[in-house]
Amino acid sequence: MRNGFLLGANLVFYGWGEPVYVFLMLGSITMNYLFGRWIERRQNHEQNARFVLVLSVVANLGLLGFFKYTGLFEQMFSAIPAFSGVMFPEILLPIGISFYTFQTMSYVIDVYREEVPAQHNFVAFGTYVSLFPQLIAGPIVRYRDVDEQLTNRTESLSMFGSGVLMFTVGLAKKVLIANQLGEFFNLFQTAPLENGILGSWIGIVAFMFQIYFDFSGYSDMAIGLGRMFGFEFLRNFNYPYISKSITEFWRRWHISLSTWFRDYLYIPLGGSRRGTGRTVLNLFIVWALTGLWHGASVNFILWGLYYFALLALEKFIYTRSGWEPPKALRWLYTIVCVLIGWVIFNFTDFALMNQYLASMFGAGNAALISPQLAPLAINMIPMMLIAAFASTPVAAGIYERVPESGGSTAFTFVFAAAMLVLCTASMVSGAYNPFLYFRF
Amino acid sequence: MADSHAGKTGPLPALFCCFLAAVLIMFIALPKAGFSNAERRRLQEPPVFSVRTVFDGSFEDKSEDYVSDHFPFRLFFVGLNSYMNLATGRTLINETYVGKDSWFMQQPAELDEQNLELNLEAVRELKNSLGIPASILAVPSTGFVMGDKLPKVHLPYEDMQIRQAAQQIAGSDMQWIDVLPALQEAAANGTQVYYRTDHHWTTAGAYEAYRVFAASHGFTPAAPDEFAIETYGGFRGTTFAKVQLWNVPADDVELWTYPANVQVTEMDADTGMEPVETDSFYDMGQLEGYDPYAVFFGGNHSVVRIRNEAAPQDAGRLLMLKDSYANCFLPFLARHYSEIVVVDPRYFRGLTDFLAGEEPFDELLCVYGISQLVNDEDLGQINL
Repeated sequence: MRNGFLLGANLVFYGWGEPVYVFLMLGSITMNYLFGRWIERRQNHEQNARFVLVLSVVANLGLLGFFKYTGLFEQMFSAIPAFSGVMFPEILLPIGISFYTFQTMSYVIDVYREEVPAQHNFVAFGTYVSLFPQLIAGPIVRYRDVDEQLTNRTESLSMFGSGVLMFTVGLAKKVLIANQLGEFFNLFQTAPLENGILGSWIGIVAFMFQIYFDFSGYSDMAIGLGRMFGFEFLRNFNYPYISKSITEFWRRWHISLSTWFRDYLYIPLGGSRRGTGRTVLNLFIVWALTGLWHGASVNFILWGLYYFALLALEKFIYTRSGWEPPKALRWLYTIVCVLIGWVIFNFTDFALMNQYLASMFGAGNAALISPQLAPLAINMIPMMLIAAFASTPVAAGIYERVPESGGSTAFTFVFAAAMLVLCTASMVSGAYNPFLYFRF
Repeated sequence: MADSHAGKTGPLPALFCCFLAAVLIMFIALPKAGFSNAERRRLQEPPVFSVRTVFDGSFEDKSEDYVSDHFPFRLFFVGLNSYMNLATGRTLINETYVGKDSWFMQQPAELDEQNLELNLEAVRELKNSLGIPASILAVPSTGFVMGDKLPKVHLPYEDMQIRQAAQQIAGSDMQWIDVLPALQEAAANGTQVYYRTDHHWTTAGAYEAYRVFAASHGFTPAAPDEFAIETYGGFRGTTFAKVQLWNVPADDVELWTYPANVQVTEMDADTGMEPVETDSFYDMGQLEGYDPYAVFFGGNHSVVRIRNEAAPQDAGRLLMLKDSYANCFLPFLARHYSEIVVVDPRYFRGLTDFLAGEEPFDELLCVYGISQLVNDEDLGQINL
């Protein structure tokens, strides 16, 4: 009954943004529900269910490919003379399709691996796939992590309270930090060669913060809302910008995605157990696809492969070199690599991307920073410092260690109230409000 | 992990639910205005709910605008947002600089040399087709003249570059009326030449420009003591509207009145309303309304005709192209011409046909705020 109400709410929420594609999602739910039951039935009868698994993966990826990647295929096909005349339909991307497709695939694969029993209750299953807190922006919730909770969860007041806090923090991250830095970064994108070398670095640092606070803010809101409904989702970000290596970065950034790829692609391919050459190949495949998941555009694949190269370097060259650089240097190396990565990630237009990279390394405007941007950049310094501080676990650490008391409860209350009011003020003022991971 | 904050987050569920409930109740209960006086814009009407609007997404988009526009205590929140910006070092809010002493100034205009040339060439073409002398009077930006009121770090105001470019394009056949030095001197002497809360100049500022104009045309301007100055308070204008800070002292609107025997006709070609005939420059009712600056001629019209019954014998006919800056400037000019025909290209098309039915003019004058002179998109089209 609870799930029924929740499912209805989920569908309204999704339908609000996608009035037509809500039916697509319903279709995907039905299809995967049936696949799950079918696999279980065959396994119960000692029959081979492998072809069903393959069928389901093909169907799910086919759906994703069609709705998300048709444009990209068209681009690539038209480059081949023989196919240049082929017409492709214009497809609008349904919101969240990358997230919910990966969720349904994880379900079917987990059922096949007999990690979880198939869900017989259609409503419960539908609720899982469409759960609105994380439908649009993740985290990618694997079925095995919430299986129990779908039927046996207890909402508690303390869980609700903790959820409110997390939701409020997430909202503040998105509205008070990400949106502001995003609006600021926009100024640097239109004519990168005018930025000046310092200007371009400041710009990409702003973007670095924007995308983190945007995405982790949404994840926090999702996890917070989940808690309010009695679900415990795994956290998706663990202060990625304090990482001292690219390997560490990917253990702290978009954890649900890298975990998904590890469990459902990297390990089935053999992981690192089949020798160096095969490991490198596996990494290559996984990272190319990770990049591709982020967007239907070539720069995303490039971004994935960029990280493949850095990770391979770390795994096979740096760790074997025996040199242990000081922590600060390792952090600096990591953050610079991440910043360059974000340039690749942000620009789908290669001309602009090249201009931006060039201007980061001295080409373009001879001034340190364009006079049209300098005053705005100076004004942004307090926000950047706040963002930098909030990217570290310092504040959260202090909060955790402070003992429960009237004082800390009062502080929490005032803090949450202030965040709610300030976020309302910002949103009502018609401020800038994009979501960067929307391509998914 | 979930319960690690258990003790501290006790009251949060209540806070959250109360907040949502309060917002919801107030949203439903409070009356909805159709127009925001403070923000000078129409507010989103309730969206129509139908199968079509739901499926094409328009219902959802309009609903979001509706909620945002009619949010309870919206102006309070806009102000709070502005304070939040200021607290984090950002003084440029909604294209407006929040300066010292409650000065709110528009951000600098982008210098578009091409458009500036387009506009000035259109004026030149008009001047040549009428065969009369032309002058250009550009009102400098508030932020440039009142630079000491700007926050320490601000975008550069390019008034000097625009002035130079414009003077060059005006050349020797169009007279450039340079009001900048006079305004700067008056400001330095303590005269308030611009409004603190609006992007326009004050009547006192317009008077300074009138003196410069008179000098350039060889007649004697009326002295300040020839005017009876009426002061009306409570004016919070356009630049304030974008920021909505709390407890901001209002501006005064001054009317520099003198016994004028004029017949004023205000025509609005775009609304199709009947022309308004009056014998006063001022629409006093506007002082109580949302835009007191509109006391001058009731705001902007397509064409305003000012006939001066008490004009001297040799007074000529003036054709003026303008934006809203000229409105408080016109009363000063009126006594020196037998008739002034004022055209606002933003609200008027078909100037050539209109002029064909008019008696010949002796002079053409173009009065614009400097950013409008550069960026206006209608001035360049007047001859088409």
